Amino acid sequence: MKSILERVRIAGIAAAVPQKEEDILNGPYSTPEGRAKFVASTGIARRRLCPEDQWCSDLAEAAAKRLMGELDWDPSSIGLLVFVTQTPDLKIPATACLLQNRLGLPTSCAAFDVNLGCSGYVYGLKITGSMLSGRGCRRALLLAGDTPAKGPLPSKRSSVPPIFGDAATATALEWSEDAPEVPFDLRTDGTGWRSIMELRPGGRPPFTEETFQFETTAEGYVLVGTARKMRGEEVFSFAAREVPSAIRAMLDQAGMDASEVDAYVLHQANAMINEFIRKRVGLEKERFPETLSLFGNTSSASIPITLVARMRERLQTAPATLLLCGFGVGLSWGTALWRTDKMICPPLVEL
Amino acid sequence: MAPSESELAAFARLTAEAMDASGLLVLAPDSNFKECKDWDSIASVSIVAMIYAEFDVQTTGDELVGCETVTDLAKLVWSKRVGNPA
Repeated sequence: MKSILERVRIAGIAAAVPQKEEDILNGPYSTPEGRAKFVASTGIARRRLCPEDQWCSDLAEAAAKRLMGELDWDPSSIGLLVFVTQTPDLKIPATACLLQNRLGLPTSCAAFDVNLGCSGYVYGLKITGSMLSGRGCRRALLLAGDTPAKGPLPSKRSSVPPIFGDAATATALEWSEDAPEVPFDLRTDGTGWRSIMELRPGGRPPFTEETFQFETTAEGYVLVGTARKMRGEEVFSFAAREVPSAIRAMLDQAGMDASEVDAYVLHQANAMINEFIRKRVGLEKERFPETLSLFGNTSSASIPITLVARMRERLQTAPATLLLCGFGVGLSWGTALWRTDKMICPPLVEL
Repeated sequence: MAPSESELAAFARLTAEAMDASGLLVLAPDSNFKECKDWDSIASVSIVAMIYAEFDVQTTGDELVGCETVTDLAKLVWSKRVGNPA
């Protein structure tokens, strides 16, 4: 779906991560050689991990509160809350509803979750932005984040490749008469539904007695193993095939030359994918920020956390032309070309 | 067209590098690449990535599993190369 978002600006972006950090070379995975190879191939050197009593919504709440504070946005002025996540607190209700309450937003606020991952931030920007209008709701919060590292069972965690990290972000969107147009291109390929997958108890495909694994913790909680299943080769092939052409198509759609873009901010999947894309498009590293080395693959948080971690000062002090591209689970991918003016970008929140 | 001897040697080097960036792993064209200690899920993706980057050919995890030696893999890649008569 190609479209143009009009009259919406990004007022600010904040990100929150757990304080607990894992240095993968010194971590529990595999052997010293195995860890060294993992870090060299994936570019993932560190990641943040939620403790047992911390959830994605806690990180999202912290990012949102920090951002609202810095923007001096009264909660009562916010009419829309969208939470992009694939690690909600509950199956139902939508975690956005809980967050409406926890953030002190009025009951006149619309709130809902969006079940998308790697492409979720770009989709979220379009969904949220499209709901703003001059005669209606002018302010919205887009929260995007995941805690995929909580998925594997505790006893199995050290044998799972440490690709995923936990993080959540908040983006404040505001209706603005003079904001530049934002072209979007959102796409889907459902033949790749198995490439990145997590089963739901009671859903389809069903668990079997073999695959339904669970553990009981000391506190008496029953944890069901719902680790993501990834077919890395398929994900690589999909990204390598689609993302370079999506980038070129967006430059075309926007009527821009590749040199006019200040930064290409891609979903942080792994270095093999991103390096392949960077070289195919012919971009230098300076305009291709990465946060794999700091946070690993944080799913829907990866694009905004890269903006906060690598471009804070720039985004706060000057306009910027950003090409955003999220790609992965679905298979789903979304590209946008956003020309930002100065925004509020507080330092990373650590919880 | 099947790969030549020198192409096979070069392909073996590329495959070894994909599996072990440190350069310590050496593979011969008749090496069973899945049996060496450097074979794991990340190595499989690295090989798929190398093949795409160097030859513009898409391969799947199942196709890699179906190959025993480096030569089998090279023949698979060569058979998929655009402009290659079968």
